[in-house]
Amino acid sequence: MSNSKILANGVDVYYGSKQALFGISMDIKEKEVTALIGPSGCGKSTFLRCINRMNDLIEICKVSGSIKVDNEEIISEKTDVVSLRSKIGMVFQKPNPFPKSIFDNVAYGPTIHGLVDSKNDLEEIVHSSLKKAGLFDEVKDRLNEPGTSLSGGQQQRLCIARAIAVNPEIILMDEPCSALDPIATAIIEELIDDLRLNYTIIIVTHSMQQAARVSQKTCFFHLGELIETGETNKIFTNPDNTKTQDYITGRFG
Amino acid sequence: MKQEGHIVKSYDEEIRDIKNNIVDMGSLVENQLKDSLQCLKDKDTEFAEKIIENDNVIDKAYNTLDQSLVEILGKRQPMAADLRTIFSAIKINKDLERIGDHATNIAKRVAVAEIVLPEKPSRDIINMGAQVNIMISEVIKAFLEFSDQAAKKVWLMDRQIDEEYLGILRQLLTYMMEEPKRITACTSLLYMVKDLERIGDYVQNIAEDIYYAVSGEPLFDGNPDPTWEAILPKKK
Ligand SMILES: Nc1ncnc2c1ncn2[C@@H]1O[C@H](COP(=O)(O)OP(=O)(O)OP(=O)(O)O)[C@@H](O)[C@H]1O
Ligand SMILES: [Mg+2]
Repeated sequence: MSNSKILANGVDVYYGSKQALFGISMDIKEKEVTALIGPSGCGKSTFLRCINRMNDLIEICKVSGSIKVDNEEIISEKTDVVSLRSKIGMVFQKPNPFPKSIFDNVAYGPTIHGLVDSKNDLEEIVHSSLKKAGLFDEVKDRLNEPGTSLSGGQQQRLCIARAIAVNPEIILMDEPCSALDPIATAIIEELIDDLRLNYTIIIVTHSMQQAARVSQKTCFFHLGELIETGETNKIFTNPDNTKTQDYITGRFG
Repeated sequence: MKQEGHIVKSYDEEIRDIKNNIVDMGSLVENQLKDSLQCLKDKDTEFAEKIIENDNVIDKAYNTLDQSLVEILGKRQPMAADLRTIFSAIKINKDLERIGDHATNIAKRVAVAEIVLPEKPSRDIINMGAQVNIMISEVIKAFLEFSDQAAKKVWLMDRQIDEEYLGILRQLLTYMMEEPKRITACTSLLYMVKDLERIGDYVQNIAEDIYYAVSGEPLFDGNPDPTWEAILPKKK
């Protein structure tokens, strides 16, 4: 299909001699939210880290197979990892602001990627990123305070602003709400829905309800295999696979 | 799809309770209809009063079950087959309550009928009622067995009911035309036969809900297959 943003084909991942992913193939469309669900240890984070080549940082990790982003192979020696990562923002389970000011947290990416020419440009990017992340109004008077002084939910939105600031096309989120209360979670979910208009989003979540609320496609992983993938509505009302059914209804997987 | 038990055992118990309560609701309305038909047969107005009183029991059972279904939705946030089961149970419970109302209506007509009801159509109505009651008990059985095929079978039984309905209707019209002083009595019977016809429709709704809960597919998806088309009653 023409509007595939990410196309994985037969992706295997090993940590040393232990295989963590088995022949994962997936077609992720542009400007959709795809949820990855599955029991702990099934390989969701591992797959997410393949997409921005973060597994490179784990010495024993070996990735093979093919992943194309915008039709370009990224599992290759020749891949320009820096430019790939500038296309892809990532948000982690635990909000991890740098030990710097709120402003600098967001300014960091655009600065090192050389996206700005002037101080005015930078301010513009920081403000608009904070606005898109739905945080600006809460922090506009304290941009010089440390990012770590914010609440957990605010820190997570700061991390989203930081991810957006480099103008990525894809945002990867690994359990972004697991440390947040229901209100902060609702705000992030609303934000994801807004971001969908401009970004392709992949989110790992342990909350079935969250996956059902925010995503259009859902992929169910089990023991390193992709068991079922389909329209979110279908997966949560009438999945095809018994394992998917057992998992999402709270039975033994 | 074969189902294991839930990791949370109390969830299994709650679902089991729901199923038992639906079955109980089913027995209540089945009895209500059986009693109403008996009281029509005996023209027993005293019994009719008791039956009318008994509708409160059905309403109460409906409310209690409805409440626990809302609670389970909120507490467990069911997914997939569980979601479909709970959602169907909500609708089935409501339809059973409505069936109870229609069954009670028959007793109400008997209670106010001071006139002699014509023999033949009364007997036909009682027979039709007995068939409707079999549908109720079969549809509850389909729910208990969680069988889409059994539900489909019950759905088809309504075809017969609709035919009976039209037959009795014609019969009553003839009676009324022949002898206008029977109009009051025949009107009472007309209402009763309509009540039974409606009950048949509610049983069909329930069969559709069961079919969906089990299979995840609607009984009709807008493209009814030709074998269905052939056996369906013609549009009136
Ligand atoms: N750095 C690593 N070194 C060795 N093995 C790893 C490493 N990271 C993950 N694994 C193994 O790979 C498998 C998949 O792990 P992964 O973190 O991708 O699972 P997950 O689906 O994200 O689980 P969770 O929901 O708990 O986050 C697990 O068996 C895990 O032990
Ligand atoms: Mg993980």
